[in-house]
Amino acid sequence: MNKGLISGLVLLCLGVVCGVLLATVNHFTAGIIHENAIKEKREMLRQFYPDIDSYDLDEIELEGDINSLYLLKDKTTHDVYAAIYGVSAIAYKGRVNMLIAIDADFTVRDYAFVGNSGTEGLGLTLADLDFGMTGVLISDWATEFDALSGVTVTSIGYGPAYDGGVRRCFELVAGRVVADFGGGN
Amino acid sequence: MNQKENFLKGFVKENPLLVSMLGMCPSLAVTTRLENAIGMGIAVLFVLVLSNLLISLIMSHQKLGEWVKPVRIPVYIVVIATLVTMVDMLMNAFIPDIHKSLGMFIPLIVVNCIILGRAEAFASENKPLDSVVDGVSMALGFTFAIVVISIIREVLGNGTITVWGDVVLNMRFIFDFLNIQPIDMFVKPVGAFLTFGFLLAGVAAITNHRASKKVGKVAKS
Repeated sequence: MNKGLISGLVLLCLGVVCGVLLATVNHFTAGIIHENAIKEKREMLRQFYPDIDSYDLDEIELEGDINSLYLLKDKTTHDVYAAIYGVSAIAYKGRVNMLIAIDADFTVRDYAFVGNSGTEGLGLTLADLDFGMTGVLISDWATEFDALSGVTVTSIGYGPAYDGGVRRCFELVAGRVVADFGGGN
Repeated sequence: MNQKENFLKGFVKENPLLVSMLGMCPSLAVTTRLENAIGMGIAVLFVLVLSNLLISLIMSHQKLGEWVKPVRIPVYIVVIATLVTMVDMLMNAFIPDIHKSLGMFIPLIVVNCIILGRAEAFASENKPLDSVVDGVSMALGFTFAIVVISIIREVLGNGTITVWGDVVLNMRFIFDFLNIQPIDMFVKPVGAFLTFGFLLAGVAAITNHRASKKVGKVAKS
């Protein structure tokens, strides 16, 4: 038989053996990797709901500015107890990324900044800023939102840019939250 | 070369990182913390030992070696890629924090020159046992080098040594004694190049000193 053909067949056989080996390892590790991922997400969301383990967690991957949606559901009735949105919007020199938790009565449970690609200084201290949205009905976001203030912030131009980004995040969530809870409560 | 020499060569004489300067990219990128270096070392040890063993077994078989020879590079890559994917999945499952910290640099072990280099230069021409010893030697030499780099960088840049997980040694007392702050530059890429450069200079100085001593002895005799 042609030598090149034999070499090719040997390579093919090796590929098949390696494929089977990888499938076997994947069979044993896939479940553990999936469990680790769920555990990591629960830990991330525990800041909003310390009793998160008493609920089922559904994750919905989305495309666009709202990139993820986590629904906490009652373990027996499967009613949506809360929704946590992973949302991002353009801010100062980049995007601001937030997690916004909404309760079943459509009030904002809390929000957190999970990163932004802005500059050092205000960009890094954004996590400490309070926009006065905790406990507010999400439909009232436009009137309740506390803008950043202060000469050192507004005079340089960061302030309005960050305000715009954070405002946009709340606006995006307000636009779809009712539908995500099943059309009303 | 006996087994002892074969084992010891990877640490200093033929250290893949400090002498052959192979596999530099991941070495400089992941050495911001000691636990990253240890994680990378474990991954490279697993891949290098098994790839050397498998390639040596394949190539030392007379008929199989003959068939594989024309396509040996694709065969090496298939074997190495399989082992790297396995180690990637295992690390993701059992040490997810280290896996996350090492990120892309685990899959990139596939193209690490040390692995392919040892497969072609050593494992394909030597017996399986010798190849395994060579793999262990080179992987430990690589791990030794990145561990040294990571300790220097982490101590100078952060004032800590993260051994594994929550086991962190606080070395801030050095900075408190000197009344200065940790040098942030060392955990950034420039710190990696500086540390690596100084280590290379140190190794070169020791090697030159030994060589000049040998020349002196020969001249005297």
